[in-house]
Amino acid sequence: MVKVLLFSPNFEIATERWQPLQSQIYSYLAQKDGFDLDELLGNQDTQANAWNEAPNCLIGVGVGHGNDDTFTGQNYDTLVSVALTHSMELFKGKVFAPVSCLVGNKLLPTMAQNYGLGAGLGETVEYTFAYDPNKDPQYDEITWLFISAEAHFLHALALNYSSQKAYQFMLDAYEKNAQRIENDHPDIAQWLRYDAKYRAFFGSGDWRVNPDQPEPQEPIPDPEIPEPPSPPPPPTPPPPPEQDFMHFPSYSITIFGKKIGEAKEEK
Amino acid sequence: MKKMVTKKEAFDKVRLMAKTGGFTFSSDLVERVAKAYEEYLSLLDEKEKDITFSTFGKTFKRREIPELLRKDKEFATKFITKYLSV
Repeated sequence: MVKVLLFSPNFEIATERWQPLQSQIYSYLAQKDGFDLDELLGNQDTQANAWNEAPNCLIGVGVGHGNDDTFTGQNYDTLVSVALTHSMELFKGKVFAPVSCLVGNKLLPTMAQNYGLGAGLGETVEYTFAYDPNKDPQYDEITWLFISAEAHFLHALALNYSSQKAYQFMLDAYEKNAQRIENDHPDIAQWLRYDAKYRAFFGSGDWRVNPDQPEPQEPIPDPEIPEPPSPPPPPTPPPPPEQDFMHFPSYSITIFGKKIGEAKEEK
Repeated sequence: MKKMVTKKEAFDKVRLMAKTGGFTFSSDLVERVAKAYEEYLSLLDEKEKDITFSTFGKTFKRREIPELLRKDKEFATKFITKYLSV
């Protein structure tokens, strides 16, 4: 079974907003497409764990902060860097497609040119996504548009389509999601197109999960990624205790500071 | 009767303003884009203005974009030359 390494840091606002939906969507795909998901969640997303797990995996995807030279995990722990030769060889002959700012400028091209990267994706600008701060991240249908589009790449790879076809399939998904919200959120549609435009491809376009098997000839099926569920309704407050107005244990009536009536319950 | 402007038309105007700059990036261009974006924002309800973006090393709400454009030159440059030019 194909093993996929999923980078899932969760330690500041961007990763806290992204990770819950990413975990949901990739878990769904693992079940649907039949791959084994090795998720480095939160504090597990460290250099030691990434270096330990990557050799057992064929594909590395997921989120993390980055720059031209480096891709990082939880608390900016360096996972892959041009300065760390061993890290550059972790995805030799494999796929590495992080959602991370700027890594398409130097890190991914260097891995492809000098360290045998099979295929990969890297953003050449700052990857951007949107979220609705009035919603819990796991119910945020705005962020879902970005992650679900991105997940099309892994879906197509898992079904043994070539990396180039998987890449185009993913770009089409970004455009489809952009068109879907064009009228209500034209600026978010623009961000989706911006991310897709600057999401560069590296390595071989013929890379496939199982090159010994023929590539499927039919069009890549839609992964049918479920939209986030509606948040549960807020809990209804318990009804106030019923009061028997005719049967107070005791009461008194005071007007202008002068008590004019009093009653006590008989026992 | 004045035609109601849609959100998409208002945002298209923001993009159009960015294009009018051509290869010249000036404070006048930034102001035109910021004003067009304010017109777009005026069509959104308060919760929609809270939608937040994480980019350019920053996290900011929709409602903060005009001010960012006017005060942060690096942000304005990327916003106009990269984002709006797609």
